[in-house]
Amino acid sequence: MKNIIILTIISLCLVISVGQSNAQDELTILIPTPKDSLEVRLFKGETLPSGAIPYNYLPLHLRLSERDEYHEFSFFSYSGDNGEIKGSILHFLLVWGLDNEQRSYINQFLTKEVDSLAFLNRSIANCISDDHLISITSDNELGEMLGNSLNSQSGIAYQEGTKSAMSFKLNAETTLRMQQELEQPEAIKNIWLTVNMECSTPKGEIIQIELKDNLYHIFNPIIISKNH
Amino acid sequence: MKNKIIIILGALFLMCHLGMGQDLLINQGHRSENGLWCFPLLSDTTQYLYLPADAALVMEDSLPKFSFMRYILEKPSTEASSSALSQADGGGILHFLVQYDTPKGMIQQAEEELRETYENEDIKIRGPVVFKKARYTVISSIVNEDNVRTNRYLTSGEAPVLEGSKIALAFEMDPIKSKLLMESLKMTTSDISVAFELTFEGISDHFEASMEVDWNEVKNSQSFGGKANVYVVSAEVEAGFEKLRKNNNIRLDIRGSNTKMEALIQVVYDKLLTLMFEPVIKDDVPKEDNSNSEDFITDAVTGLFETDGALGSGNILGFGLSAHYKQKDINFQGTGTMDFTGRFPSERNHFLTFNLGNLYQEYGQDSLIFRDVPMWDPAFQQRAVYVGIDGSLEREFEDMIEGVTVWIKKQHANDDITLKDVFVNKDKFSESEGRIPIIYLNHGDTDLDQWMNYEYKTIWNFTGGAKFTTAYKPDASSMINLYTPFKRKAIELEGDLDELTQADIKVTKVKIEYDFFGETQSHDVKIRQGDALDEKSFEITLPNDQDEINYTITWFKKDGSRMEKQGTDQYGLIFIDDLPE
Repeated sequence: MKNIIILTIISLCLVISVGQSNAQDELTILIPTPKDSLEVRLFKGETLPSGAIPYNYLPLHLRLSERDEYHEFSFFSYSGDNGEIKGSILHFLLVWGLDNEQRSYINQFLTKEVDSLAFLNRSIANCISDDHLISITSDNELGEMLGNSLNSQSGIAYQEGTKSAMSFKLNAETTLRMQQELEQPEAIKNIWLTVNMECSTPKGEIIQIELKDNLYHIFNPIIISKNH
Repeated sequence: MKNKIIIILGALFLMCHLGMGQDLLINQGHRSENGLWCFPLLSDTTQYLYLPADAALVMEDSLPKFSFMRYILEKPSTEASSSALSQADGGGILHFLVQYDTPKGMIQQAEEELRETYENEDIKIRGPVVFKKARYTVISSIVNEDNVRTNRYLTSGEAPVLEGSKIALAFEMDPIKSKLLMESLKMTTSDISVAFELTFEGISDHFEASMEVDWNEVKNSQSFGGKANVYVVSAEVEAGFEKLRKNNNIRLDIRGSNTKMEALIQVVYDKLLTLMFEPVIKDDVPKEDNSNSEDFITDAVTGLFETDGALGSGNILGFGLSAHYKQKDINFQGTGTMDFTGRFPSERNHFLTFNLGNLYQEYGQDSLIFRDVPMWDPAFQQRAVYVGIDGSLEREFEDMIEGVTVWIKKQHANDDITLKDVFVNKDKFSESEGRIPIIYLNHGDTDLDQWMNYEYKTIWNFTGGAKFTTAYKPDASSMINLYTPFKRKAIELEGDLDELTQADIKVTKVKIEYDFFGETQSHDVKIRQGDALDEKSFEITLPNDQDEINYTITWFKKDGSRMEKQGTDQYGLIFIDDLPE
């Protein structure tokens, strides 16, 4: 790590930092997002017989999973005989890891800026999680209500791309609040889903990973499609 | 002076690992472009095992092994309602088979990719990783019971450890949940996901590590009291080691990639523990030593875990919190080096989660998959015919009637005959609250109108021994009402007693006889001059279909002679002054 120098490249709306020398052991790339950027930490793997240099990344980017071009998300409310909402079911699946667009972006960067033989391989394999569960935290009442509505969930894996599911049974009040939030998001910006992992870098350094994002970001594809 | 202590731990680790039979290099996984994870084997790095990539419903003949049946039961109305529509009872039964596996094409692609990547045509994907254990979990608010948050894996169980094995899941639910599930299964992401949690073992990458210990600093460290024979609890030992490492009194140099740092530190600390301390039984700790106090232990351990405590990070590297140790008198001096080498066994979890999706869109019209079943089936029906008792009969139970037996005979369509009886007496009538059922089943009675028809007869037992059996009567009603089979009748006597006196009649005797269900009943009365005739009438009980009685009038004259006359009456009136000529 002694020789690492952060190189900042600014191109249009893109900000990237990277070591100056080629094929560094570790480098960080910032991928621009519509309102922010995504920091990707890469670690060099063993050079392949072909000379290709694999880079592996630390877990990141918790998001809704997709199947057949649909985000795996459902929210439906039900009502009684008098039409009054009685409750709802919220069910969604999550994945983490770089999506195809981001992978492509990093691959282009690696070959152009690091080494023509460098490529993005996979996420770091040496990660563990104590309970594999996703926790819900918030600083508002809706977050607490949502947390109390969680019925069941599956664990989340250390391998990128594997899915985790969560199912919530909401009462009438929480349902109305969630309906409102999906129209005009406010409180969900401060409701966070978090997965804690511990990853070991190639040099044996232990890094605590907090895969974390708020529901506004996670549900964003749904909110956008709902409001357009 | 430099003590060189060589500790070869590698052989030990490897031996542990060889016992597992699957020497996966767990940190050398390769993720193919198609998403398949493959791991090389330590024994032959050209041989790979893959992690199953897909979990789904089992398919057979292009149909999912899935069924959702909703059944509807008639529910007796419990409340009076003006509405012609009411809620039926019922529920739903969900049944499906799931499995995890990997498409062959995916494996072939990954194998080709591995050969190309590592430029080695000998590379082969040998098969799936064999899991140490496997569990499934159903994630659903509809299927799972409510309020299972404290036990998030309620609907879960052991799953096969080999890919391709099927597991069957079945759930029964009430009408509301059935409806919710049906609606949910119409959505792109339904409220049923199934997850497989698959645990597998492998070994870490090879590592080499050296630990350099400044024994002078370690011996004098205040972490352990700065002298020998100090008693400490294990949490203090670990905190002391952490402090010594931070102060560079213990330096760890690791060589090798992807080393499982935590496990390595544990090995190192274990070794230091062995060198510096000896375990003691708590009771052997001298009373005067504060560390023997429960409060001391609690305070010590609590302090270590405070934010700024030595173990504030929350790490517990395998020591029990309150095991007791006594510091040895360490003879080492200067700097000592210990070498470690080897691989660690390691365990990982692989998750495969899938959602059942919108099955209704594709299979909603397929009755093999989705079906609503009204549960009314004549084969499971039973006919109840109730025996009711008229109020007048109820009163007769105390007087005339000992009991009545009701027989029902049902000739079924398949020529079976159901013959059932029920005996009703005063006690049974009281217990039954007026509804005594006789039930017969359906024996191939496809014509339900005909099924309703039956015959019944009654057998009456009267006080005194009389018995009356009716003939079988056809009926189709749900109630057999029992009425008294007899009636009360008054037989009045009429006549001019003065006229009888003028004819020297001293006494007139009237005797009546009638049949009462096979028993001849007779009563008589004597009339003298001055008697009131309206007090001499008869009160008799006759079968309902009988009105006639036989009577005999005998006149006794003052001279001792007598006259007699016999007759029948059906009007309840006998003239006693109509003397024979």
